[in-house]
Amino acid sequence: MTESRPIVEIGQIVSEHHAAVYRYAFRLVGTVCDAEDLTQQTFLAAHQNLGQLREPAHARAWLFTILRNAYGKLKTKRTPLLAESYEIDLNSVAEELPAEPLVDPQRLQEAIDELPDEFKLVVLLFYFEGCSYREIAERLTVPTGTVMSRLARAKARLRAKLFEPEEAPISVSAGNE
Amino acid sequence: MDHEPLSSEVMSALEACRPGRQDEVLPEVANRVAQAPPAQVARMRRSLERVDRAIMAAMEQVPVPAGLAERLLERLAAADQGSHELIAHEETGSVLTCAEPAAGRAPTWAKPWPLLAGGALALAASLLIAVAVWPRESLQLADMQTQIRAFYAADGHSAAANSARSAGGSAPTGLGGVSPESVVGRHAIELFARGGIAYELAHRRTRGTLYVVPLKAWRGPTLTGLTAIPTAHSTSGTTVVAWTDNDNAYFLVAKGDSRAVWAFFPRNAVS
Repeated sequence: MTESRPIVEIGQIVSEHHAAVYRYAFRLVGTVCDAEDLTQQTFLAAHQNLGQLREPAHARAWLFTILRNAYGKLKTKRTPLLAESYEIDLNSVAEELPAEPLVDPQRLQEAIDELPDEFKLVVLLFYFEGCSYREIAERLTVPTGTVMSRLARAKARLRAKLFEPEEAPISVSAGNE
Repeated sequence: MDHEPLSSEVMSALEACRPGRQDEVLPEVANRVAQAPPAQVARMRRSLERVDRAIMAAMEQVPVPAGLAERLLERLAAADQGSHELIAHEETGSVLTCAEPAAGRAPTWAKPWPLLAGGALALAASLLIAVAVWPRESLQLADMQTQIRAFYAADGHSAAANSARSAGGSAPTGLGGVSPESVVGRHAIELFARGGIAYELAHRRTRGTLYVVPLKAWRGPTLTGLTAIPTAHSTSGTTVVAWTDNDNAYFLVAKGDSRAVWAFFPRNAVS
């Protein structure tokens, strides 16, 4: 009995998803050159492992997974800001949020760049991929409580950068999650 | 009236809810939110949703470089031609794999590589000065130069034809005649205050790094004597080759003797 698997052309995948992959890569790395480099690595890996894609409708999520793995390898070459030392007091975050929020994409990128990698991935999985906290926990293999904690702190930090004239107080300490 | 701020536990639960979804009914969220006044929770949820939607929209506002899809397809086509090299590279722990590296499987060449890469910039800088003062006759690799000349003449290629193509407006992407099939990775670098690209090269067991730096507004040492013909120098088990196509300077660093360097040029140049 022959296995019927949909034929997926890498050219079609590039055509349909290169923009989304590049945008995601840019939000992760913050520069045009690095984003294109990461995008290229993603599609090369996808090309080599095309047989793993069983359902073409899931190509986008599959590419994002490859992208995150490639980014994970890149980040080991940098000096990371440890999430444990990045504490924000949620009780200090104002409850009054802007009624009609206007987000400057450049300022958003600056805010993302300042996040430790553990927080950055959680935020992008939430905002870019639209994952629930449970899905994020599964993909990053961390407990749901950790995801909720990181998500709350990272989102509060983004808002502080985007909407508040002065940054919310951040204390550097041996944090707990 | 409910003027007490929501606790961090409740806030964490609300922050985890996606706009337009019913995430608040999930047990982890519902249990935490139950501690707070419903009206205050609902108000906060609405505010967070508004902000989250605005951030989600802004996330997508990233201009995509012109010609990106075409460049990706070209690179994939080149990878197809050099698939044997890529597969061999994957088996040794390439970064170009989808899955995480298997535990306990150490890359066979990645460990010594940082050492070589670390010294590569210094070697390239030394070479810049060296090629400026050495007469070409004193170099050891006349045969290689002859073969490269033959390649340029016979194959219809020229250094200019392979010259830099702008990626993102500033970084060069040309390989200066080096075989695209050899390229297994690419990184942005800075050399003499100029942005460039370092290509990781692999051919069978030979590894190398090609540094491509644009000459426009060059702030490094004078490049007198740097010619269009790749010129090699071997020392201490490492070979460095430098050449230019008037747009970029190319510095290829490889572990091994000159034969190692030659492996990165197209095979038809050898015949």
